[in-house]
Amino acid sequence: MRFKRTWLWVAVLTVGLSLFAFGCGGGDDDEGDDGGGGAAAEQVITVNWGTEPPSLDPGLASDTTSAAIIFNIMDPLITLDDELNAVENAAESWEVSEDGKTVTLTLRDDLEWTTGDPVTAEDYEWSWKRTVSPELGADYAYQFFGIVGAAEYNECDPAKGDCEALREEMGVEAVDERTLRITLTSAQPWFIQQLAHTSFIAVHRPTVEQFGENWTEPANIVTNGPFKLDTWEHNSRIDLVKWEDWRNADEVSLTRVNGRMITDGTTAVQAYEAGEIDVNLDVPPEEIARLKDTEDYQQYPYLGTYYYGLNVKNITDPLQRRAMAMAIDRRTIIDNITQADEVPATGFTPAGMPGFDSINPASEFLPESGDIEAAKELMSQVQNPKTEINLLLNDAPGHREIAVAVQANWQELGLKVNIRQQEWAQFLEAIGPPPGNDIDAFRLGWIADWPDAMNFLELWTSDSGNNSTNFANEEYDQLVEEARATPDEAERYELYAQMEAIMFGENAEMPLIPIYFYTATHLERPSIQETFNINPTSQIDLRPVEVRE
Amino acid sequence: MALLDVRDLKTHFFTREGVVHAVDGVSFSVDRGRTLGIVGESGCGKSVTALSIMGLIPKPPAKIVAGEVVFDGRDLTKLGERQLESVRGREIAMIFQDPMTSLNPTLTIGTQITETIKRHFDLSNERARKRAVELLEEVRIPNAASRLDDYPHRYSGGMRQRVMIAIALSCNPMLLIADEPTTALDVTVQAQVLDLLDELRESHDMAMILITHDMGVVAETADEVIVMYAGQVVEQAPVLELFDHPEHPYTEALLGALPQIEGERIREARLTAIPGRPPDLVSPPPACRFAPRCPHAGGDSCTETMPELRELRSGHWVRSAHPTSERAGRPVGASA
Amino acid sequence: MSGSLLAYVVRRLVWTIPVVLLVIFLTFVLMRQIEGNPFRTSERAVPESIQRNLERKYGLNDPWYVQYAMYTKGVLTFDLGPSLVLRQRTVNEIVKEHFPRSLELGGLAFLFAAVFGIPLGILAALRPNSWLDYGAMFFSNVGFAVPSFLIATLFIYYFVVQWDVGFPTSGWTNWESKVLPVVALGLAPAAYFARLVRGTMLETAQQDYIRTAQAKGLRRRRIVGLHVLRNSLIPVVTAAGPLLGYLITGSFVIEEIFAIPGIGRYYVTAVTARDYSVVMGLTVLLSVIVILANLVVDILYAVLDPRTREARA
Repeated sequence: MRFKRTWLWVAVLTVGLSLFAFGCGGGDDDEGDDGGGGAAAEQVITVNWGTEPPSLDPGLASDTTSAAIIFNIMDPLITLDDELNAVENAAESWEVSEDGKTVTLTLRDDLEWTTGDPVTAEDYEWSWKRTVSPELGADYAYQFFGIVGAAEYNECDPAKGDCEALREEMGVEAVDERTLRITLTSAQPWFIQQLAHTSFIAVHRPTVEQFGENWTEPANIVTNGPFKLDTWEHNSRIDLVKWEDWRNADEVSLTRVNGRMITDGTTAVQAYEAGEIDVNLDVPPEEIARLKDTEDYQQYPYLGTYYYGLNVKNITDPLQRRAMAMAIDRRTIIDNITQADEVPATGFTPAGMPGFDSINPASEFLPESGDIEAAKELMSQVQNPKTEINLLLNDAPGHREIAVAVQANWQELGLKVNIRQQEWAQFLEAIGPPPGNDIDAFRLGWIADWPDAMNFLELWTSDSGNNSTNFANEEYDQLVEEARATPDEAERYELYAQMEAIMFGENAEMPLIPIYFYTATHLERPSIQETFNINPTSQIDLRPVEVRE
Repeated sequence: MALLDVRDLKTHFFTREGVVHAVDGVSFSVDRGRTLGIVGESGCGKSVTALSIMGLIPKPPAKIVAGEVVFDGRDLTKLGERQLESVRGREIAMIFQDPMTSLNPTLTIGTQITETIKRHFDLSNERARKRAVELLEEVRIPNAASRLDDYPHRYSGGMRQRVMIAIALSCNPMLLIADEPTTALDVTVQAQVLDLLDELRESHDMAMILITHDMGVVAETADEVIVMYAGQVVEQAPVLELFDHPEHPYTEALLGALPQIEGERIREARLTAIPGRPPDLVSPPPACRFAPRCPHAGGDSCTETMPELRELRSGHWVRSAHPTSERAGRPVGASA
Repeated sequence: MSGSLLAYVVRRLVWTIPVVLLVIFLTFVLMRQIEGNPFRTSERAVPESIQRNLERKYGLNDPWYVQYAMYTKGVLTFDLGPSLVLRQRTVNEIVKEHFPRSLELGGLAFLFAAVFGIPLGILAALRPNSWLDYGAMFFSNVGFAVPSFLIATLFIYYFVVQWDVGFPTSGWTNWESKVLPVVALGLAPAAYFARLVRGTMLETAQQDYIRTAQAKGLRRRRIVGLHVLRNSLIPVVTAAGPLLGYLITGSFVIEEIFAIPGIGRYYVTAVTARDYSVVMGLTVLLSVIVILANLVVDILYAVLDPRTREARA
């Protein structure tokens, strides 16, 4: 009897004590300001980056998280304003030769590394060649292929050829300490804006040579930007502090940017609601409806297009492809499924791209709410329609719901649609190019690498590694070639418009059906909403951010 | 005064199907130094009686609803659990039917003996172990000292039963209850164990209750015998008297079911099983419980009323309306 | 430890080597079978020259048997290779940094399950069919049936967001941050333990030797604490082996939800990303752990139940 009772008491006491201890133990985390407290006195924010950055090496970074952080700890040559024009940054000025093939950059004279060494043009030359080198295996080496000798150098096999010689021949040269001369294979009018990409950022040679792969660890890293890397606990947190000796340090208000890496969407939102983070860089689709009208919700335009590719070898009649495009009710999809005020697509180049107004075809085959009657009319004219459509999606959340809506639209045309979802890597294998024979349509998206429509339109050349539609049009290919050699903007935009017309104009080939242009959704504390912004290429500039009262 | 005096003990089991009158008014007594045999077929209530004396019946379904168990002047049914714990093992010991499962497989033999000793006496570990070795020698376990730290699985069935006996004797109890101690053993071993029991009982001056369904065992060891049927005592007599002059039809039948090893008609004798089955003990009717199977049953005295337990001769009690000596024309003796 | 027990342990340890080799081989084959390009992370197709450079850098253009041999040699020298996706880090570094956290999470969850579940089961068994028993079994059913991710999310929602008890939503830093994930992970095992212990105790209590113990007049405390418990724990120990497996693999979900920088998260994302070296390295590591855990369980079993020792002789 007594035996039993003692056990019971022990259990009760344990539970009771635990509750007591937990209840009293307040959170002693060092989380940042929640915006409601004192004035702009504490300029510290906590950002949820969403994932561990795979690499902070500008040569190796290939994802948006790494880019976002690199962008703020380093000093890019140029930045982009809201209209995506190039703005001088580390490069004080630039000159483009008449034929457009030579670009000369002049660096500012007050650029410094955190070690005190000056940042020189030699740093850039060495870094760019390093990124293109075959040994490094950089994903974004192709960004440099517009430079003379870059592609050749990258293709060299160190075991077989003399890669050093090719390296010497690459068309980037530090003429003097502040001047960088770049020789392009052809006139590339967008080259300057391309320099805003993180792969063109210089690295500190002595550090890289000394520490090798570990040079980006906080103990080793040497940077030259407005913020320094203070802490990096892999997969856990990454904190930046203001670098007081940066050339324009007085322009920067934030003293510290703490970073978390919460991948799970629900947990991230809960962390925001619990006050642990001040910025959440992605609102999970299922939460948008609930959070949309709160004061924390922020929406930004984003240069990207969500589309359905069509296998033109299977769906052979352009009339059918046009009919399928016309049947889709974009407005319903945007209002009820994605719910983030995306822009219904009327062409492939997204809104916000410079020159959009001239380029966009405003296709009659891409009506906002779909036109079933007209679509059926078109469909009836098709000789041998493909009535059974295999639609392939990857297994990320959100795609299936959209596919179901499209399936319903297409069913009205008398088409039987089989939806299949595959894991990402296998999905990519399936669409190739070339796409598997059993794939009639697939879902994909394209995000801008640099702010020129060429980045989007060159995808559809017959030899493009990103063209999974089997679309091959000689005229289109020629237009692309021509546009590449046209430095004048207005002329070039005209050519772009023609390319879009081939795909979506009156005699639309319709190898793909654009659905909508992306938006980016954030949760941001009201105290920083005004100053915390991303530009349409999703670059986050922390310099102007200020915590207000 | 008798060492143990059980008076009108009633133990009932309260189950979902009803109240099972497992032991329904059982009385007997055991004197110091004497052996009482309790005989009956499976389910007659003999084990429950023994467990009731020890207070080991499972308390949720079972309950002693009436009667007294007076041991050495105290009524055990009135004692609390802690007091009973002091009695068990120390003053009354019990051994059980199946030696293979009656010992804890994860503890050594030594532990299982010494823990009993140390429970009831304040002995050091060494002294308890010494005592344990002595006990094992008493029950004739060879190499007792070295086998003390063995686990039960290294002992055969017969040896384990001896160990059980050793445990039972370890605190010098006044009464030993042996519930079917040889039933699960080899025939050859049975005799040894019974002899051992008898010897030890004498040397320790204990009283013993021997429960069995085997009339042969009873004949060997008991001084006095009670026969139980369907939760009641149906006959009680000194052992020789019972075997020579069985009175209750059931007893006769039991004896008739004995294989006869001696006698002239050994080849012709067959084992006569008793036809029928024991009654359902859930709310039994007030009638003679053996009547359905009794060859002599008849009349209201059997089917309408419960026969009383009456003293037919000195020391010989019977619960029957038609005991042997009252049946006209029937020879007194065995064989139906 | 008797001689036979020692021989048994040594023999079992030696057997782990061929098992691990087999695991390596199977994982190697399977990973290659599921296709997918480890270097293509987005829609953007990888230009040929770059694909070649990367394959050369990581030795992926060697014939498969060469790759396999190189890798096995690496494992035996404890060099698990570089990560294909996290280009600047090696698998050894990743494991060294992240594995201890998963181990801690799993270990604490196991401790929680044992400390909370076993006594609960004992209490329920001591008072069968009482309110305590019903309550304990109800809790046990709930803990067992509700998936851990749901429990985790609910915990965060109520304890942190709604009631603000003092725990953070995520991370693995101070002791407050460890409470919710440990409990969320340990709840199902605790429920399992409770049911198991209750069941085995009730069953053991029916055994004949318990009746013998009672007949000896032993105190209730000793009967339950030694005779019943000792025998009841044997099935519990046996259950601990596969339970450890659950804790190691199940931690992925908890790590993901609570943003705990452990090895579980890496494991699944590595498969999706086709990071061969990370997948292989972690598989090897986890198989070794599971094998060792089972070995420990077997040894414990032999210690608790002397009957099994004989079989090894």
